[in-house]
Amino acid sequence: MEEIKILVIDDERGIREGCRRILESENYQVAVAETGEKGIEVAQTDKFAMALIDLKLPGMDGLAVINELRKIDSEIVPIIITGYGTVETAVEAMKAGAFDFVAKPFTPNEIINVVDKGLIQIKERQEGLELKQEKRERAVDELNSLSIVDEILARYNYNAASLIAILQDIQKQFNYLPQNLLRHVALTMNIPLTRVYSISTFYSAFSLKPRGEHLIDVCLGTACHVRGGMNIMERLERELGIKNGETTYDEKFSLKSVRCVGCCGLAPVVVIDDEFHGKLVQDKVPKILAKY
Amino acid sequence: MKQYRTHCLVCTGTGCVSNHAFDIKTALESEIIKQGLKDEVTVIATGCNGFCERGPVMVVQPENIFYQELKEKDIPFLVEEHFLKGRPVEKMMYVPPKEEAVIPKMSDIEFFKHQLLVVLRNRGRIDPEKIDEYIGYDGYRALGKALTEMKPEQIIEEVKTAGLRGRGGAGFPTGIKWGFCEQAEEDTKYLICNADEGDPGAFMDRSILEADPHAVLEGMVIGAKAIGAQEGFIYVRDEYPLALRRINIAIEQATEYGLLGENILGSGFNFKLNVVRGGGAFVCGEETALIASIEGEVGRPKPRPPYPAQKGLWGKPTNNNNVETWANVPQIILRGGGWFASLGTKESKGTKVFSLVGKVNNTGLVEVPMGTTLRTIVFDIGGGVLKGKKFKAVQSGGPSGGCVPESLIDLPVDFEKLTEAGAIMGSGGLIVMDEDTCMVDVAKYFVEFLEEESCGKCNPCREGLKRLKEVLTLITQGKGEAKHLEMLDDIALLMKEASLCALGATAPNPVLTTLKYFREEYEEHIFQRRCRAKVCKDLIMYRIIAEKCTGCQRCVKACPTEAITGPRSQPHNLEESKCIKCGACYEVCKFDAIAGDAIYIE
Ligand SMILES: Cc1cc2nc3c(=O)[nH]c(=O)nc-3n(C[C@H](O)[C@H](O)[C@H](O)COP(=O)(O)O)c2cc1C
Ligand code: FES
Repeated sequence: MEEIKILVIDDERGIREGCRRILESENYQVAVAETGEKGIEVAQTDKFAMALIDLKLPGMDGLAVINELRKIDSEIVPIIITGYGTVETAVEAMKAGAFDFVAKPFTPNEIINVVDKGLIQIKERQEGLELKQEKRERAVDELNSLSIVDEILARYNYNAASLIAILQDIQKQFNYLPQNLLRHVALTMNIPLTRVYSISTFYSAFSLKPRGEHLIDVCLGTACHVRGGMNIMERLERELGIKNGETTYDEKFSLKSVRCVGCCGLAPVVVIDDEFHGKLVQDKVPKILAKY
Repeated sequence: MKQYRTHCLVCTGTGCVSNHAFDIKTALESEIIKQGLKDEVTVIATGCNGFCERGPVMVVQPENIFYQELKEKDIPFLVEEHFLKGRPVEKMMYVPPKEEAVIPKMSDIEFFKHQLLVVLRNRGRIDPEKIDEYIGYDGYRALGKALTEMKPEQIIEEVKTAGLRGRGGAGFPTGIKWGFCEQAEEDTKYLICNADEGDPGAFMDRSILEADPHAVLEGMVIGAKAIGAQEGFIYVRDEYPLALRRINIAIEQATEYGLLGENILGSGFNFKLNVVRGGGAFVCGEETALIASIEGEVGRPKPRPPYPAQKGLWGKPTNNNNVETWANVPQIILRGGGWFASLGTKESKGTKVFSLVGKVNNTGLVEVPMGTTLRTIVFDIGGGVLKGKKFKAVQSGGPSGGCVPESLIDLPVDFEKLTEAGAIMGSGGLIVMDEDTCMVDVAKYFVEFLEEESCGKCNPCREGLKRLKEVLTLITQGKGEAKHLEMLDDIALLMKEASLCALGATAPNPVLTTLKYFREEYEEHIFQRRCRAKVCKDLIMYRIIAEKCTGCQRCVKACPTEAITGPRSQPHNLEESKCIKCGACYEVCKFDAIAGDAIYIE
């Protein structure tokens, strides 16, 4: 983990060094300053996650220091140390933008607790940001995919007669037919969503679920059936731990049966992505899977 | 065109491509350059040669030498020996099963000897991606004749004289069908080429499109002229990427050459062709469902009449034919209906392309005159049953077809004879079955297939298939009862009578023919709880025959559950409680092939 740096600003040497000792024993990196002005100087040279600031400092007081620190780094978490453990001063400090406060005199545990709370706040804030970022990316993604779909639709002149070809192209792009895209197709082409769904469920070429990285098609056409295709299928099911029609947990393989790939001379046949594996015996199955 | 001393025709049909034929082609080309032969030897990528079992294959002309099971690493040697030193390489030639001497020439190999190529005449001889090569072998001459010398009625009359019948399954006379559509009084008419090829175990249409796409295009333009259609659609299965690619290239080239599009060959006739990718539904091979699918709808059949010839695609008169039917047309126009009618039998004219697959030695694509016997196809061309096992039946016609037993092996194959036997011609898939094939399981297999593919619109088909499957499953699990045989008959009859389309009406065929010819197998399952083919897992048990086991440990390694144990060179031990009956040991045991079964099932 990246080292967490904390800045302690207090004019009382005992408090400064006490804080340093306590926090360093908890593996934080600590810098100290005896006045607000000096603290601000230090803050300009380094990035601190948190600052412990005495409210009553000579010269610039604690609240003004918080303001200045915020200008340097808006993410810093300020905590006030106060000799007057009163509600009013606490409220005043919080209003000025402090995250929390500790009253003198304090025990090491009190300091550690308040710092921990600050860290949790930092973490949550970051996650929140990530979440927002993710949402934004997803929105961008969605816009992108909609525009890809729009391109496909335009290629077919929004002609409903080409619906099957359109869905085939969409599936080629996205590896399956995502719901939001189907809705988009229906809306843009002005056809009922039910029609789009009935086509996507009727034809076996379509999948409404995401499929794995590699698609395994086991031929169970007649030629492959009489030459033991079912044994190959069962072996694959056992090796992958899934059933016909399912996708492995790690989304690496999707397994499905097909009826004749037109390569019956080489029965039994398995097609993985676009590669044909003919004249198979089940003993070869693990070796073939290992290649992917 | 440049003249070469030697032509290497490398098969690049799907079968050979999946065996890395393109790597072989690249290796050949670079080796030929390396050895300074590039002005003497040329490499041509052709469509399916037919002998898929031995892929990747290559034919060297003019000597007619057939090389098979080629490996990239052997290419330098081959180029040096054969093309530089003039010594064909025996090591890569064909040896018939159970024989030792090689057969160098393609024309001497049994697999090719009995075939007669009309539809597949260009297979393995032209590069399907180059229109000039098609034209070099009389391509588009028939179109020229049809557009400039013949009236539409004459074209139709010629096709009627030929006696050509639809190759897509039902065998309806093509000339008569064209006549219906020609007479429909509408300005807009459409043509369709049905390349959905839904029958599992069949790949004729795919191979035709891959090997000679222009033959199909030429046939369609001639048909369009005869019927008066302005636009056509080729509906291709999405699982056929190579065929799709080649048909698109062919359309592009034909358009460029003025053989498609506006004012074809300066005759003032226009015809536009579109390619539609299917979505993977068996029922879409049925023409009314196919039409719905081209319209972008769910592919469900519609009741007929009205027939497509009156109201088809977008309500307009439409004529649909199968790929092979279309591919026959140019030859009929060029060589005359009389010539075509001289081939085949009384009711079935011409040739038929079959995909010969299953438990047979020489699997591949076969074209023979109608009326050729099953024996010739399976034993002469096909080289008999795999591993010297006993022949049991041939399944013909896909899921709507039936199983023809050994007693009918001398049956001449044509539309009538197959129907009499309870099977159908279908699109031409022939699946050979041997003693290891359980006929109850086969019936269950087709019923399951159709249950998945039934569109669900009509009750008899949807429910009938469900019930058939339930009953057959009970029988294969050893829970069969005497009354089940009667139930199968009842359900089958009802489905035949009451289904909306041919899918449901023919669906009981596999059940009915197996019941008719292999009733004793059903009875054994029901009354003795026994599966003689050792397929039905609930009725079998694996065991090692100590006397035959040499202790080679192959099965020990293959067993996924560690049920088989034992030190090397001692008969192994199979622990029944751990055995999941997956058959992995049976597949790998060498001594099954040599000395019967070391591991056998009872
Ligand atoms: C369930 C079902 C599936 C069919 N599948 C195909 C097929 O895959 N290819 C085909 O050409 N015809 C198929 N047909 C037959 C077509 O409906 C149609 O009869 C045929 O394409 C007409 O062409 P043809 O006269 O040249 O044979 C199928 C019929 C049914 C009932
Ligand atoms: S049956 Fe498997 S490839 Fe045709």
